[in-house]
Amino acid sequence: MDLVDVLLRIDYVFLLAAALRAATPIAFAALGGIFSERAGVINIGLEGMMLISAYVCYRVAVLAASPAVGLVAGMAAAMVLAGLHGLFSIRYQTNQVVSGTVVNIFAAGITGFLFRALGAQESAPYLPNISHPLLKSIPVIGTLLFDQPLLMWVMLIVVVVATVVLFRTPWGLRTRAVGELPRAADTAGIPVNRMRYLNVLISGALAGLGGAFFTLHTVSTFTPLMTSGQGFIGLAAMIFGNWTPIPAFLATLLFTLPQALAGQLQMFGVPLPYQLLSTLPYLLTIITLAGVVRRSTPPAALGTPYVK
Amino acid sequence: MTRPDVVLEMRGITKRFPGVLANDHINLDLRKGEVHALLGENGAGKSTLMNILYGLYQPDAGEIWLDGRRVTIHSPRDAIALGIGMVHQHFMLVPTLTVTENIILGLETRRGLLLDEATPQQRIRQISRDFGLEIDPEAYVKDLPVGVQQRVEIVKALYRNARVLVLDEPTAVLTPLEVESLFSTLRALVKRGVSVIFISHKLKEVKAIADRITVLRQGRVVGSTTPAEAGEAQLASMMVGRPVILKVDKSPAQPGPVVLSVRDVKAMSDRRAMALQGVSFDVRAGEIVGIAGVEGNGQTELVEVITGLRQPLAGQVLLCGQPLPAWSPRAAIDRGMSHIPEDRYKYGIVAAYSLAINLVLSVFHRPPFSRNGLLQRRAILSNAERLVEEFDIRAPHAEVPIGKLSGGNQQKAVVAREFSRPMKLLVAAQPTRGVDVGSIEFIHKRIVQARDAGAAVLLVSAELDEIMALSDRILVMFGGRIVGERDGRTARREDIGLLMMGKV
Repeated sequence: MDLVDVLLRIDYVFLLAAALRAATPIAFAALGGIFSERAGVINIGLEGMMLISAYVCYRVAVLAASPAVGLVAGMAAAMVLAGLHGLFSIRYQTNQVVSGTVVNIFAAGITGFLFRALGAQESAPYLPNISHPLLKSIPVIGTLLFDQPLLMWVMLIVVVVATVVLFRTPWGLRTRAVGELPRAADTAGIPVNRMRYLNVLISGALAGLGGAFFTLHTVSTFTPLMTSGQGFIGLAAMIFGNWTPIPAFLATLLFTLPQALAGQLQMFGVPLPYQLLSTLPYLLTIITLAGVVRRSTPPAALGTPYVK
Repeated sequence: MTRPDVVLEMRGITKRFPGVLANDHINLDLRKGEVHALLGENGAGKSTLMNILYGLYQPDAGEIWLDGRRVTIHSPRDAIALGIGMVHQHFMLVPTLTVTENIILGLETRRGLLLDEATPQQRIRQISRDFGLEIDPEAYVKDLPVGVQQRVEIVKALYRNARVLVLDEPTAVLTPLEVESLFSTLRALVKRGVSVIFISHKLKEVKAIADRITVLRQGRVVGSTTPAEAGEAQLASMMVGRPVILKVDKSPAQPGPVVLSVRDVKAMSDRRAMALQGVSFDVRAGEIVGIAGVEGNGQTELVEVITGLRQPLAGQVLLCGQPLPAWSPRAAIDRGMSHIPEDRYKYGIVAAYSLAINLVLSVFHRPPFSRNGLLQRRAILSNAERLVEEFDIRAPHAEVPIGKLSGGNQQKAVVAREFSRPMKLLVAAQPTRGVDVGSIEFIHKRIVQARDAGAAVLLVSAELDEIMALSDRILVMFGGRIVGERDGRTARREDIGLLMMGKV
C-alpha cells in the first residue's frame, strides 16, 4: 500500500476529533497562561498546576466516588499553587520564572511522593462524554462534537468566553491595561495587584481543568509526571497565538493534528517509529516557536512586579 | 477661611523620604481659572508635591483644602472623584489600547455585561469639540504622535470632570509648534473655569503661560511671583539659589579640518523600521554641530552608529579620514572619540559600581589602571580624586555607588570620564537631560572649552534652546533624514521648529 493510497483512506473527521481531544489539556494551559500573562505575570508553573490537579482529581474522585467532586478538588489544588505563585510574584516580587519553576518542581515532588506512599490501584470514576444518540449521527459535526469528553466542551466554551471577557468587558480592559502599563491603570484608579492576583487564580483554575482531563477522561488513574510537558506546550500555543484565545486554541491543533495523523498512518501500517511519534508535539513546538517568537509581542509589563 | 476664588489650597505639606526632605512645609494656593506655574529644578520637590495631591503619596504633615473643605486623598481614585486630573510627564496611556479605551479605563460604562464604547465616544467627541482638542476616539494610542497623545491625556482628565488639571513637565516632549497649540488649549481651559497647575523648569514657557509662579528649591517654597514682576534671570537665580549665567559665552568658531564624516548611513531601529534613510554630514575640528529634531526621528540610531553601538545597513563613518570599524565602541574610543550617551543609565554608567570605577570604564584595561591583568586600585582612586576635584562632582567619597548620586553629579562624572581622554571628537547626546541648572551651566561651559581646544563636537539634543545656545551649525533631522542646515548665529527658532515638523 503506498502512501497516497493510505492518505486517501484516512478518516479525516475522526482525525480532527482525535486532535481536538488531545488539544484539550494543552488549550486549557494556553488559556490559563493568557489570563495570567495578559495581567503581567509570567506563568511557567502551569505544568505543575496541571499535575497537582490531575493527582488531586484522581484521589478525591476515588474517595468521594464522584468525578465532579474530584474535579472541583483538583481545580482548588491548582488554584492554591497559583495563589502561591501569585504571592511570590506579586507580593514578594520573586523572579517569576523562578517562582513558576518552583511550582513545577514542588508539584512533581509532592505528587510523586504521595503516589509512592499511597499507591494508585483503584480506578477513578470517569467524567461523562457529551454524547447524544441523534446528534451523534450528523455527519462530520456529530463525530467532531457529539461524542466527546465533557471537558473538551468546557474548553471550547472557555475559548469563546475568554475572548469576550478579554476584549469586550471592563474586566478584560483592566486586565490588559495592568499587563501593559500598570502605572496607567493605577492612576486610573484600578487596583493593579488585585487584578493580577485574580487573573493568576483564574489561570490556576483553568490549568486545574486541564489536569483533570488526564485522570478523569483519559486514563482514570494517576502516574507520576503524567502531564508530560503539555503545560509547556500550552505556553508555546499561547505565544504562537499572540496571547489571544482563539489563535492560541488553533495553535494547539497545530501541535496535535500531526500527531493524530501519524497515529493513523501507523494504524494503516506505514512504518513510523513510535518514538518519533511521541516526540512529534515537542519537536513541532520547538520548530514553530523558533519561527514565531520574534514576531510575537508579549504584554509590555510581563514579568515586572508593580512597585509604586 | 479661604478666599472664594481659591479652588485648591495645600498647607504646610511635608514629605520625608529616607535621607531627603522632599517637601518642607509647602504652601500653595490655586485660584479658579488661572495657570499657576510650579517652577523648580529636578529634585526640588515639584513632582512629590503633585503626587501627594494626586494620592500617589501620603504627606507626613499638612492639609489639602478643596473649595474651602478639607480633604484627604488616599489614592488616584480619590483625586479623580474630587475633580483633580493629572497629565504625567510619562504619559499614562496604554499604547495597545484605543483612545476611547484609555480614556474610559477604570470608569467603564457597561451595556449588560459588556463594555459600552459608543456612549463614551459621543462624550469624548463633545469634549473634543468644546475645547478644540482634536482626537480620533478610535485610533490606537501607539499610532499617535506625542503631541496628540498629550491631548488624549487632557481629554482623559476632562472626561473625569477635572476642575483642577496638573501638567507635569508637559512641554518636555513637544516641538515648538506643539507647545503653541498646548498653550492655546490651556488658555481655552482656564477660560472655561478649569484651574491649571503647570510644572516646569523652563523659564521661557513659564513666563509665557503662567498667571502666577511659585518657585521651589530643595523642597521649600522660595517665593511666589508673576511673569510681569520677575525676569528670566531673576527666576533662574530663585531656582538655583545663586546668580546664574543663562547665556553661553562663546567666541565665533574657528573650523579646522574635517574630523567626523558621516557618509550616506542607513540603519534600522530596534523595532526594525528604517530609522536612518541615508544621512551624510561632516563635523570639523573646532566647531559644534547641533542636531535638532523631535525625539524618535533617527537621532538615537545616528549616535549609536557613529559610536559603534549599532551596525549600519549601509554607509560609512570616517574619523579623521579613516573608516571606523562598524560595531566597535572600543575602536572608536581608542581613536579619540568621546561619547556622552543619551541614556545615562543604559550606556553612561553602571549604577551599582563605585564612582571611581565608573570614571575609568572606558580605559580600565590599560595602564596605569590595569597591570598584568589586575586592576590597580590606587591608580583608579587617585584618578577619581583628581576628576572629582576638577569637575566638581559632589560625592561623599570616591567609592560610593554612582547610582546614589544625583542626576547632575552622575552626568558630571560621565563628562569627566569622557573628557579625561585625549579627544578628537565629542559626541554629546542629550548631555543635560535630567540635570540641574547649575550642572547644565557647567557642562555647557566644558563643551565649549572642548571645541576651543580643537575638538569636533556633535551635539544631539531635543532641547531646542540648548541647540540654539551651543551650536555653530545646526542640522535638523526629521524622518531619518537631515532636512535642513542653518548657521548657528543667524538661525531662528520658528524656522527650526518648522523644519523639525518636517515642514520644509
